[in-house]
Amino acid sequence: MQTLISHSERDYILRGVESNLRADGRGRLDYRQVTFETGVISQCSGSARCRLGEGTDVLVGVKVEIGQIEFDGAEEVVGSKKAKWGRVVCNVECSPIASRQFAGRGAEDYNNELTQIMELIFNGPQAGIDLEKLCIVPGDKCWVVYVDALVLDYAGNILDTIFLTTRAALYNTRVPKTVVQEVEGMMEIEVLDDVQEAERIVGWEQIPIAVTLNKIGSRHVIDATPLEELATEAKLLVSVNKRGKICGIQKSGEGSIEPSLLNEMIQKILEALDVRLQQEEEVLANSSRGGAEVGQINIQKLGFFAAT
Amino acid sequence: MSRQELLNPGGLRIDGRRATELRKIKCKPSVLRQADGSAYIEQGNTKCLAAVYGPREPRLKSQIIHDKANINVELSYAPFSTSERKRRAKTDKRILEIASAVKQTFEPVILANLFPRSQIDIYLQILQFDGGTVQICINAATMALIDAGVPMRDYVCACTAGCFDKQPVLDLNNTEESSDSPELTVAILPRSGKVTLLQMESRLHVEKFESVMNLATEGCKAIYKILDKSIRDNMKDATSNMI
Amino acid sequence: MDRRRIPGPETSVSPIIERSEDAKETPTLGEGDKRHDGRKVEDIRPIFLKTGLITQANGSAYIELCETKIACAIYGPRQTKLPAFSGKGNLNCDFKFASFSCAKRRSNHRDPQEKEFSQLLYEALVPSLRLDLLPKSTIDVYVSVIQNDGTASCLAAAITCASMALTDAGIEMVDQVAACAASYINDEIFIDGDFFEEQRESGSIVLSYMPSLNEITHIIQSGEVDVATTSQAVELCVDVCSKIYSVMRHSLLEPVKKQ
Repeated sequence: MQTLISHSERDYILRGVESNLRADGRGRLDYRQVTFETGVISQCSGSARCRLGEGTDVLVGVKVEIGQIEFDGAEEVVGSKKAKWGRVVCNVECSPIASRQFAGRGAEDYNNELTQIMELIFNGPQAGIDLEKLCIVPGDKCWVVYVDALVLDYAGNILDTIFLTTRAALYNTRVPKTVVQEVEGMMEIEVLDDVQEAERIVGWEQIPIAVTLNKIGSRHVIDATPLEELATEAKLLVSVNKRGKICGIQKSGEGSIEPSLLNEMIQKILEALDVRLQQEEEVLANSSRGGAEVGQINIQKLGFFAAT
Repeated sequence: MSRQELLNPGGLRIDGRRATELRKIKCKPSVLRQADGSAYIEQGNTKCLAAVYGPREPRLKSQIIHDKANINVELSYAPFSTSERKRRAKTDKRILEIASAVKQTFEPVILANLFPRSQIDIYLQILQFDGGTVQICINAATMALIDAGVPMRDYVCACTAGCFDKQPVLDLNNTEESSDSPELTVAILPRSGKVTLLQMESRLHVEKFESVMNLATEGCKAIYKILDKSIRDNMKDATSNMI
Repeated sequence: MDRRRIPGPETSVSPIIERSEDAKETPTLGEGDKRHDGRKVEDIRPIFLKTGLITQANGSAYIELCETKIACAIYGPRQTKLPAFSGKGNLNCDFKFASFSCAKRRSNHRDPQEKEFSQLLYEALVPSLRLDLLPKSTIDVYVSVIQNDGTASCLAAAITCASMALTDAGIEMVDQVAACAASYINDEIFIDGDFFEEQRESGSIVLSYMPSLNEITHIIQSGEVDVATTSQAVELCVDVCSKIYSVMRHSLLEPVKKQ
């Protein structure tokens, strides 16, 4: 991960974007090829790995564990609703393997930034997951869905890749069935080990994905490379679910955006996301049959987990 | 916890292996784009990814050694790598200890004096954990270093061995490791047979030591063959694509 | 041993807390479309703004929106401590909730939310500043929340307050930044929601805006919201930001006029 860019390089990128031809031959709103692999970590309840083009590589592991319901701090009326909710906890870690910048404590701030964006979109009912279905004993115990993303290789556009991978990992996740019995006034929870009984997370279809639009000059590009990210003035991340509702917006970067341009950018992202969601869904639905390819997304056994 | 039967009367272990059998090893060099050298290795259910950067300029002036390269090893566990989710701080003493063991193993093997005032970074990432961190880290780092073209005297191959009821056993998994049997980690240079790391944290009878040590050395040699084959195959693929 | 079998804890609580009917939801909109504190949906709470409270600082500001109270201090521009050369000035933002400011006690450590807010504050302010005029220097922005009545509106007020403090410190800027928050409750947009409304919201938006340049410097939205509602909220927030801007101008000019 570089941090500096020369004026001439910036100018080169700017002109490329202006004429709708980027350094790698793509147009402004073209994606790179995405390759998926699901169920890669056997100790997880669900996992997925995603590779973007020849670079960015993200591994997401989902673990469901029994935890305490959190509803204190809320008022009574609101609290009673939250007492029946399970939780989703997100965490992003950039491995030093991906870049020297992430060595030591170098990635701490960046990890936190990415984690907070994940939390913005996945922590709450807008994530689509039926939180009530994750509840085991109301007011006491629930399933906590831990989503851990690990960035293994870096070639730009980490966030979009994380969201895409997370959706695939949650699709791959199975929550074990539980039996609750009351024994002498105590609630006893039994987790059924049977893999056949384990169920997919309810509400999976409505889990949102996100796309980042990078404003370079007066234009904007999708799926930026590291150099393009350095030339970016402002980024806009918009997250959308299948119902076409916005589940989160965040601007980042050091530039500003005009209100009319903001609306235009949101519209562009919505169009892009609509196609993206359909493609991912089709690919995942075909994942059980081995390989599949729809648009720029395909699913197959990737490089190293299939090592012999 | 009740003592489990680690070796059944038929001579088989919990995961069905015989006493002197290695877990299945899968490995592949050159898996990452950014790194100068990288490797992925899987020993049974333990999975590790290694990346090597350098030799390059040290980030901190204090890390400069005037007559040789500084070797820096960093290890991290993925939060989902263990059966119960756990986030480990990078400053975890146990992690730092393993990283320093790996560093000491490679210091005599890498020809560091060829690169004065520079730094070689070895980053290790455990993706899934089922025992034998030190051995898998060393094996992965060897492959990544070779992939990066860092000059070395030889491969370094590591293997663990233990002893259940007087029977030496090879390559312990997590369950076997957490039982109270002794565990010995050995790293050798396979061609000369020299030992670069020898680690044991529990008690083992002197008379048994030699047989356990020999078994571990045999294990290292077996691992060497697998690693060497994988590296050579990868090289062949690369050269066949050149024309 | 079956690791996943969890016996009930010793301090078990009684299950099912289906509340009885008497705990009724207080309606968010009462008679005559009045909110619980008597405002209309598009009204903000009255703002009190004052600059120059902290004598030690190069610039400072204090903002109060009813129960929300925030102070901000600017130190700098001063020489950067980092050895690396930078052609641009460095803006360092530090957002802190006082330990007594929220319903629950907060620890003195910087928690992930405070780190996030520091980052958001940076991104909202930096487009307005001429940092290219201040090479090799650092500006420190310290925001401390004394009382928090709605976290989203708190962030918005902090951005407004920090921009005022930067003006007070005489740091060159292209425009001031005004920020505004809104809550989405039952498909309606409640501008500047307080803690009571925040508990009932399904989502929120914080928008910061440079009124004279007509540029949005930052936007963050949470919750599941319609596209049309979003653009409506953006429009509303932009209008409100312009109103806040007039308050900012007034409170800057007033002391000067008196002199």
